[in-house]
Amino acid sequence: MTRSLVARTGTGLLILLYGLPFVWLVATSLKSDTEIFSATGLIFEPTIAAYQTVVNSDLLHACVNSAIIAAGTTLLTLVLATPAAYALARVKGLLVNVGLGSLILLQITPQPATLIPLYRVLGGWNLLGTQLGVVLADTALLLPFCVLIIRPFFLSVPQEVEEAGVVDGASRWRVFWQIVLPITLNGIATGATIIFFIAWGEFLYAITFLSDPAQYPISVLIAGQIGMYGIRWSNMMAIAVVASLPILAIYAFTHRLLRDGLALGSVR
Amino acid sequence: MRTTVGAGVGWAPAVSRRSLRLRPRGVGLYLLPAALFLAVLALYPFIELIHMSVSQVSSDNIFGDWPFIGTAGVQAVAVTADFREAAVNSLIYVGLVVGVGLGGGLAAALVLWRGGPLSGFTLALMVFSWALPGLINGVDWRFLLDPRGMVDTILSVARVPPIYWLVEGRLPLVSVALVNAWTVVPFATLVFRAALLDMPGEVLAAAEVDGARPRQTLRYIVLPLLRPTILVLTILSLLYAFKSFDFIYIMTFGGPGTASTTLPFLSYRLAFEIYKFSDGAAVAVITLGLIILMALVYLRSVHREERA
Repeated sequence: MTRSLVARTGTGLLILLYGLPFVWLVATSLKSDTEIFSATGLIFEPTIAAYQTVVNSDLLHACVNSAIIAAGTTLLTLVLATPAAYALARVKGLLVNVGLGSLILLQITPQPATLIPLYRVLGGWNLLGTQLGVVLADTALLLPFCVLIIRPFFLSVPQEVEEAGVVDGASRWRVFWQIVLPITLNGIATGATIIFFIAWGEFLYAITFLSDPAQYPISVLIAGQIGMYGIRWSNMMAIAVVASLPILAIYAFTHRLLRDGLALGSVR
Repeated sequence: MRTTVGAGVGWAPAVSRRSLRLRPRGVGLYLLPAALFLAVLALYPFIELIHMSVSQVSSDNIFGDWPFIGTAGVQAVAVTADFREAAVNSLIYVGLVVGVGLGGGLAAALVLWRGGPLSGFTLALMVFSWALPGLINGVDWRFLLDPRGMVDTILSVARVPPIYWLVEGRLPLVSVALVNAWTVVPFATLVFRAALLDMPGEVLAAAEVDGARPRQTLRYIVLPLLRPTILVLTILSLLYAFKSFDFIYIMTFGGPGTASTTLPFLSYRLAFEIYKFSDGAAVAVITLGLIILMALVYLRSVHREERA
């Protein structure tokens, strides 16, 4: 009896703690500038004026840029990370320790520390100011993380499954492609979802390596305006809501995957 | 490697089970694309960072030659007041993110453990805030903590005068750390929840039959069983919190002044505000040294878990 009371109170508290900030975000985006100043909380007359101001061709263009950068990063990261994660789940000994050790080392490097060296590398390849350059930088940032997320899924594939394939005369590549990958699709989808989300919100590389505003993703619009004095909060919140929508849409389909996949990836 | 049948990527059908499992050569090729990519775009920048930290680099010679100065730069920067303040700030920040993140995660996992009509929804709601980029959470909370925002509006109902969360004294650092912890809690909840669901039901049932109260079960059975999970989560969130950057960038930009500047952010400010590139690199290298120490502890603990 008391346990269920504690559980109910706790659940209610969690819903408030995690729901209210988003309710407030949306509410603020629906306020007029005067109502923001008069501190009316959640009781106000909604207006879509902020959306009418911020949703224009520039913002939609920025969303397309974000989609290009995030999708490109996700694709490239998966292509590189999936075979690597498989190898690190199948080989034993020094190679694995060195491999995992370097991945963790790269994973824990603070992102700003890589800005200047990456600037030089991308500059040498004439990729500064291009979205391809940002995709390469983002991939370098997220590849170690992706391998670490996906590897446990390969570890959980029973060796016997692969041995059966080999005995049947399939090549190693076919075993990987036709037997192992279909079993581990959940893990790969988990990795893809997380990489896409992070790449969608990445702003430091984009703001540093891009120079033409026409190429900016939506994250740079937000990060670029946040430091300015006299932020128009209703407009800012409207942009934040627009930037969250694609994530919400994907999350609606993948949240069960994330719920189960994340725990697997981190406990191992 | 006793048999040389099927050298390279191809696999002969008649290989023994043992050699099948231990064949690094073919599988090693699967590592190659990622390894090459990371060597150029991650390892090389990493080495350049270390190179920069032992050189004299400013805006004058960033594209020229870097005179070697050894560890003098690292030593000089480590004794500055800015560095000491940032180190203390980092400790506070990491302590709050890890403590509140894990404590909150454990509490939430226990609350949601037994299921119930709303627990699935609650979990999905929480994990959404983890899934949102720090950029968006940071912008949201920057307004929520504004004197006109959610927190002060709610407090005003209790007649509490407005608090300037992102301006006054140590409050900015604490506020940003708590917001960061707010996004760590859902992740910790997921991991704790998985561990709780894995728990042997018989043991818990036996405790109940023996008349253990919920608090006793928690203290003497559940918490000891969660030990390995707590350990791994602690190190993971420690590593994460130590390098955390975007919440500070978005919510306070290290300010007011240097009040919320942590080590990674100090490194950024040194390099990109006053163009002392080698000082920035030196701070980054020291920070990394500290993180590597913790990573070694992590590897050891994982190793032990995998063997157990």
